[in-house]
Amino acid sequence: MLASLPSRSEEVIVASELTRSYRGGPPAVERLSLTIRRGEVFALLGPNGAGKTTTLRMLSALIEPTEGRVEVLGIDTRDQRRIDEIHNSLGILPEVAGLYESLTAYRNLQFFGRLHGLSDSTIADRARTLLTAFGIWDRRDEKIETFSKGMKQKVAVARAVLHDPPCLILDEPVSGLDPEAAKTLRDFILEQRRLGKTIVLSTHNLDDADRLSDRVAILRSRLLALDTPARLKERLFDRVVVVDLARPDDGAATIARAAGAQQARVEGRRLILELENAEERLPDLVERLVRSGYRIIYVQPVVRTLEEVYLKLLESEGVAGG
Amino acid sequence: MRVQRVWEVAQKDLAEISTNKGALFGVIFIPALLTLLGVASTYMVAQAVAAGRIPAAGAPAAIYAVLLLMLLIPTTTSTVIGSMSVVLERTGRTLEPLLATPVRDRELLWGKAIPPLAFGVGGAYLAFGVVFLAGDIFLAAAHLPIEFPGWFGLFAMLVLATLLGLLASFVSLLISSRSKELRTAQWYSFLVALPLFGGVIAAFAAVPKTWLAYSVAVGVLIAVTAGVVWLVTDRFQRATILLGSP
Repeated sequence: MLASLPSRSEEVIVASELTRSYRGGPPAVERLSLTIRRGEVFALLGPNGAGKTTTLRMLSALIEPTEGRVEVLGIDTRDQRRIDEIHNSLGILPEVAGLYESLTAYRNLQFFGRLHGLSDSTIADRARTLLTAFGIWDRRDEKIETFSKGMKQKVAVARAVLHDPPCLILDEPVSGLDPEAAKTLRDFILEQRRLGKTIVLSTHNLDDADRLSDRVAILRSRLLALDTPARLKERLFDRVVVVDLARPDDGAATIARAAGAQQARVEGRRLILELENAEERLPDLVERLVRSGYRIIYVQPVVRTLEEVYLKLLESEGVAGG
Repeated sequence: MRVQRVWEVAQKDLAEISTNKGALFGVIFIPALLTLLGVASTYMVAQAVAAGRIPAAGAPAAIYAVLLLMLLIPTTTSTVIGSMSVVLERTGRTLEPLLATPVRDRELLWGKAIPPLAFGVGGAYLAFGVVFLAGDIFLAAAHLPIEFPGWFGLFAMLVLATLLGLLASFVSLLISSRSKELRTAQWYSFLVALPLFGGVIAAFAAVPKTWLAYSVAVGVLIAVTAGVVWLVTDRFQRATILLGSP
């Protein structure tokens, strides 16, 4: 029996020990626990089949977990009597836009807006604002089947935010879009964050996750890592620092090792260091080099990408490149 | 249950059906063909009695058989539309956003049930109206001493059409909600609906044409229909609809 979950106002979604299996197969998601806080952008990363979409569907109260529970704004998603409250507080963008092709863009928005209980005048106002922001207001009366993939995705995003929910759940929001459409949607997500919305997104685009998200969860059926992108990089890699010397000298590496560097090597004029606790050790190391007569042109940390973190984690799980 | 959401789902489906050629074929062609068959059969019966090829006493039974056959209209039309309903949402990938709205399972089910009922039962009412009118005209023109199955006959057919439309709509909706592609949904829906139709027709063909016998038979059919509607309502749940699992 699970203990009652906290429902503090800053916690928008609380998932506890989520497991989901399909037809007796191995679990698509296993013992996943996470808390998503108000106003943050939370990214789910993982290879294909890692359980990202299943997780988003459980967080969206679209499917029930086999075990465990989810609370959205303090409401247990298994409580079917309050399903409308849950769905009114979430704006959901599925992996595929999922619009009615034979209906116009405006009629699509009107249909979903009415199901959310919006009046026709509210729908008209919000549809105009959103479609104008996406540059497709002029095409509102055209059928969706005539739209490009990017335009459909914009309409689908407009549908997700039409009822002004406090939390957005976006499954691969910029996947497969041209750079211009992707940028528009990226900017829109950042704008929503600025407005204080909580955003949960899954993405294959690690650069997007790095730029957009406050915290990242890396999944492969179970949770492999969960932290801010910066802390994940720090946790998984020693800090690499490049010290550009005025002249090449192998002796600098010896001094650096003596000052606490785990690894130190000289390549041309560059002294490359791997340091644990770089914030503490680097100033001392630089001081020793200067006192030993080395002239330093600059000191620069090597920035790891989230992609490197992701690949390293998956490699440790034996799935990299697979 | 909010009627506004039910109506919104129904309106959306009606708008989609009006642009779906496959659905329109089922909605227009089958009722039109059977109506034509009903009118032609009534005319031929009137002519045959007038020419003395069949006795006047045998005419009502012949007409009643044709009317029973016309009950294929609510059965097939409701099955065609109902079986498309949920599975097209799944194949069009619109099911997930639809289920992510505040619409409740029962609101969705009844919203989805309105179009097959409207086309199936509405089409049948229209067809019976035309055939009864034509029958009265043909029999009067031939100056035959036969009464077309009057108000009782019309009432009987409308009740049966409504119940068969309900049965076909709900059974095909349940099958559609568990199918992953349209052909499978239609195939299994017809596999269930046609024997159902056959059973009802056979039973009502055998029922004596009295108010009492007819009332008992209709009562049994109402109970069966209510049971099916309850069962489908109970089984129509968003998690299984989304995943399409049996």
